[in-house]
Amino acid sequence: MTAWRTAFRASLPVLFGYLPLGMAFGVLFAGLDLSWWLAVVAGVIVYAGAAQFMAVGLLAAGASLPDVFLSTLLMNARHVVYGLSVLDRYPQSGALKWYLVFGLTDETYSLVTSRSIPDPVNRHAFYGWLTALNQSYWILGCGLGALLGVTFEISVAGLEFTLVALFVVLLIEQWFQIRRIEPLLVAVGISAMALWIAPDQFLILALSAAVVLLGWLVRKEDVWTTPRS
Amino acid sequence: MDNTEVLMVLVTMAVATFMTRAFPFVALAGVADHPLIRRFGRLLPPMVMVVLVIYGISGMPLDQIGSVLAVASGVVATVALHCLFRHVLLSIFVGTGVYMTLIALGG
Repeated sequence: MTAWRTAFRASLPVLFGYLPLGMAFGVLFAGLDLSWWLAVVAGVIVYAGAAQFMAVGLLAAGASLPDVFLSTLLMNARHVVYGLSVLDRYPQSGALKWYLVFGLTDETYSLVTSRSIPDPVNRHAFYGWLTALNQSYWILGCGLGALLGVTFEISVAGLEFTLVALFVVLLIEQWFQIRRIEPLLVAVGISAMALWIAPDQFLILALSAAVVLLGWLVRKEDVWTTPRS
Repeated sequence: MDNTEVLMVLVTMAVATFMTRAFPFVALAGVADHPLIRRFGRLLPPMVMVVLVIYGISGMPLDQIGSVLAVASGVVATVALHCLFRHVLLSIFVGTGVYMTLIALGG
């Protein structure tokens, strides 16, 4: 199978996640009485789900540029974590590398890490198509949502569950890869702590705790190795 | 707010987002092959996924017993279907369908 077809198949669940989610963003964005094409620009140059939703709030509140900058850094700090674990999979140089880095969203990251492709040529082509396809779904969703939003009053009640379901599915896929319960239990513990300490900063808190704790644990060579089946 | 101001906000966000994504590639480029980084890269994704699942669930409306049950049913349906058939789209669609149906019935 060609890299394109493999990538297209792998990206389909993201299509059904990004289209409604992008549309939800577009609808909210249109609610601010802004030009619809600005939602498309957001999908093209920012391309970050959570941050774009936050942007609607920031724009509505008329936040200053330094505020926008800082809150986006914090909101997206989890991407540092993602980069760390794809360092050896991504190409080491070139334009493709930087596009892949730019397009490293939660979902693309999840797909990239949930399958192994041994051949580097096919692997890089696969990552390239996957990233581009995912972004095109997102841009399409943002644009459609904004167009719909300026045209009708619509409700997307309940559709946001798609993303929860997507993460659940990807977690199960990760489970099939490692088949170790310990890292998952540690992550549940960390999440519970983060929810308890600062629910508003949950993502950044839980993810940095996971990085620090795992960074400490992996110094041991045999930590949580996958049993041979 | 005029278009130029909105564009300034979007460009600012784009720069900040790219900085977070590029940081490890710029700062840690030489060590990608290290076995420690490899172990780290293999074990981090499942942990991140646990965090994202919990993040996603905590972002759902959970203020009534009915909405908690709807989320729980949606998650259980998704897990069960995925373990049975391992068909990503089916799991996501039916799981979301279960959730939306319960929300519609309850609200």
